[in-house]
Amino acid sequence: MIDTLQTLLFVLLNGFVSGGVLFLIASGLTLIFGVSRVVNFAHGSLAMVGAFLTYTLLAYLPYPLAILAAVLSVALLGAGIERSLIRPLYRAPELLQLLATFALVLIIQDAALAIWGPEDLLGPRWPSLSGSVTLLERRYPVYNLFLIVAAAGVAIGLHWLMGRTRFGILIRAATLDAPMLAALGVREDRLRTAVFALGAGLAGLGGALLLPRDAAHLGLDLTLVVDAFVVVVVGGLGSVGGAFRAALLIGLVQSAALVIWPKSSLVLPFLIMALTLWLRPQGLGGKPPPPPGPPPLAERAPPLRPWSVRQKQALALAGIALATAPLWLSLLPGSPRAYGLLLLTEFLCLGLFAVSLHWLIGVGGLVTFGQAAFFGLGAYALALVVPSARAGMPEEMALALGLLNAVLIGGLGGLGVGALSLRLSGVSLAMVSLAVAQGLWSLAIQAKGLTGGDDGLLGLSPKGFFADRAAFFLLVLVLSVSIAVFVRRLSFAPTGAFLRALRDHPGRAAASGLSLTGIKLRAFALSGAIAGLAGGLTVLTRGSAFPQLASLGQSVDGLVMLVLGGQFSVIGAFGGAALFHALHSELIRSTPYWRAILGLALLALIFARLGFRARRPAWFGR
Amino acid sequence: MLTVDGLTLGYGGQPVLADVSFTLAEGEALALLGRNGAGKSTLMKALIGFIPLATGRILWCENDISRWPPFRRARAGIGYVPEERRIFADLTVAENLATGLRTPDPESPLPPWDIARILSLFPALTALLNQRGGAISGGEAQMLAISRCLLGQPRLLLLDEPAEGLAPMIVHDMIEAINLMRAAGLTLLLSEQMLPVAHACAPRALVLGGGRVQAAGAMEAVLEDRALIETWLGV
Repeated sequence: MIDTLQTLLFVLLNGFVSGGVLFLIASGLTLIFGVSRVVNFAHGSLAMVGAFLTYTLLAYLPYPLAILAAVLSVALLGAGIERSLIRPLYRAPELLQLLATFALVLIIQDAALAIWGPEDLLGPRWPSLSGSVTLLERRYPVYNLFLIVAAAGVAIGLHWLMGRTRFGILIRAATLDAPMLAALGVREDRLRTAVFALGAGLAGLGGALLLPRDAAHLGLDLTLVVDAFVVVVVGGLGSVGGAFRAALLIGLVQSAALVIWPKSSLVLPFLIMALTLWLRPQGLGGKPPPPPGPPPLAERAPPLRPWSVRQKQALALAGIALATAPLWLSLLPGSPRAYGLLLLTEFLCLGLFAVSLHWLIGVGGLVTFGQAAFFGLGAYALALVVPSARAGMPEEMALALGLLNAVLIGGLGGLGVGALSLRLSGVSLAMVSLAVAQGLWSLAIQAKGLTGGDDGLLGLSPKGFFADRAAFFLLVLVLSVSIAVFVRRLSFAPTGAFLRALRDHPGRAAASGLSLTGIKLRAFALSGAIAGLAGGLTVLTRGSAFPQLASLGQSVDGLVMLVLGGQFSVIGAFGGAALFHALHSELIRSTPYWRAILGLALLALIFARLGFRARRPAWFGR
Repeated sequence: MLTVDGLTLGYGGQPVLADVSFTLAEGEALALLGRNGAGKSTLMKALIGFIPLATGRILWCENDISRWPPFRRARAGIGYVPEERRIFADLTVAENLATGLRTPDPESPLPPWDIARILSLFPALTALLNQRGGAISGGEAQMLAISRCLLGQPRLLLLDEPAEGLAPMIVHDMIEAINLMRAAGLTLLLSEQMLPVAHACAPRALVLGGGRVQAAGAMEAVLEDRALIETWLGV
């Protein structure tokens, strides 16, 4: 009896602890989203900075003061970020908003690397809160109890702020109709800055409170922001009360699962998210979204036009140049032919990956941040099939089987994500796809028996006929060119026209009798299949499969290519891939701070693309 | 007090208003008349700052406010009650009122508005203070929208179709309330499709049609011009 009671109590307590921590991080994210409609990718980074700052400040201050100072500094940092970086983005397309805040993640990560170094920094214990108490004959850390109290305190404080103060009333009003609030004389811009600072401060507090228990480290940013995404999606975007319930739910279910079936704890949050999206797509505390309208003018896609004769000639020339690369590469002095072919093959794989994103984002307007999931699925689908197939059939057959499997599994993954996000669009789609991809990525790391974990799977370079770099390069060239042409033609065909209709005005597309469900599912399946093929080919090119292929970095690389080259055409996808590949392979070799440089370049690119539009005040033109 | 001078604007390249000019003196009331799509609401939105001007100027108390953001115009004394009322649906009536609240300028010649004065103008709101804004009727929403605006201590009220969709009884009350506000010294710009309502609220009229000013003058004169009504106002 006492055993059951004991287990129950500790499951509850641990659930409250992890739920409380989740809420601390997620509440700020959802508050900021509610008022400014911007999903702040760098929210986890702010929490990470909070943890690092507390660590440093503890050298001079006692714990409570160090935490207070860290929270205030992060709030100030948040206000600065809103003013300088976020404000010009309020009217920008969602893709650019998300990428800009992701650029911030990269920059903050390298800044933290420069300031605090790559090692985990374990905070000293909080003297008055260390030790443990005995509850039902078992010892329990006092600090965990403190975390529960702190999270509850923040929840009560937020509840009071939102319900009882004019500031809270204005925040809620701005969430509903910000322009009307401005017409009533409220300085919406200041309100947004204040809310951003508040949200950043909450993130900083979450990070700071984690320090005495866990270490501050550089991976904290993405871990925390993905957890927060799941909580915010389950709770309903912009709903603080919903985030509270979602955090508690996830925390308790996870804590119970640790007792019943420990291995499931990693995927459980995603299962909860999938279930919520299926039963109640708007989340626990969210409202059903208004019927979809057209995207704002700034986001409208240019009309799709056939290629001009000039363009066709240029493309033919490029094709000839690529196809003859094995010949002219060997004529070049000094540069080894094998390396050149490797680079070109890698570029084609990336281009194919970018084409899969172009189909989804450029043609379909479905902004996803988890394309690496399909890339990784394809990679492992091939890597797991080829070695065993080699035993029973000729090498070429085994490769074909592996690639087929990559296409199939990638397509199935696309179907899965498509089904999960059928009723989502915009930022919720981006968040959900990201969360799913991160789930798969951590699965790839943890399922050591299958994937080899961080050691990866090796020995996958093609043998036989395609062991020759030139032959393999030509295979990849033929595949990628035919798929690019196929996607291009499909954009003009009814399937593509339906998809563009869905992008340009979902409401009207539905009213014209199109089945949005079917169109979306097919779009995701095709995109997943292409990304899967790209992943499989990448594995063959490199001869190995690693979890990085499914990581967020891979997804973002693809998005950067699209932004570089333009998301609305297949040429843009390949052009962006070429540019990105050239820059990237140079950057990594030249500096350890390539992330920050990539982030800064991304910001420069985004602001250049927004151009003068960004400088137009946000309150115009509703 | 308000001078609109050669105002021209459009949505996405399509002109909606062309060369609209008029003036409004302190304490005056002017009705904008015109059919659906004549540009009345667009003019109101341009005056509060939701839509940028292509050309022209808006002068308010000798300041060129054409490029001011909405909050600044509101703080300078322009109150906007939109056609759709735009009540914050998840906030209670009392909270909706609180969003508009601003401490009165001690130098203002107009007596300040506070909750008590609002509730004496619209007694029906008293019982609703704790209701959700999304759960009240159209007439109540209109009263709330006007009240919320009045608490910002405006000197000019932009009323966009205040009687639209209201029951005849309520329309009568609304006219009464508008005249009370006028009596309290507020300047009024009213857009209206119902000629009797406009007639009961404003002695001057401006007829908009096809995005241009078609006629302007005393209400009586406009309403007697059969040809004008036939061409630009009749349905």
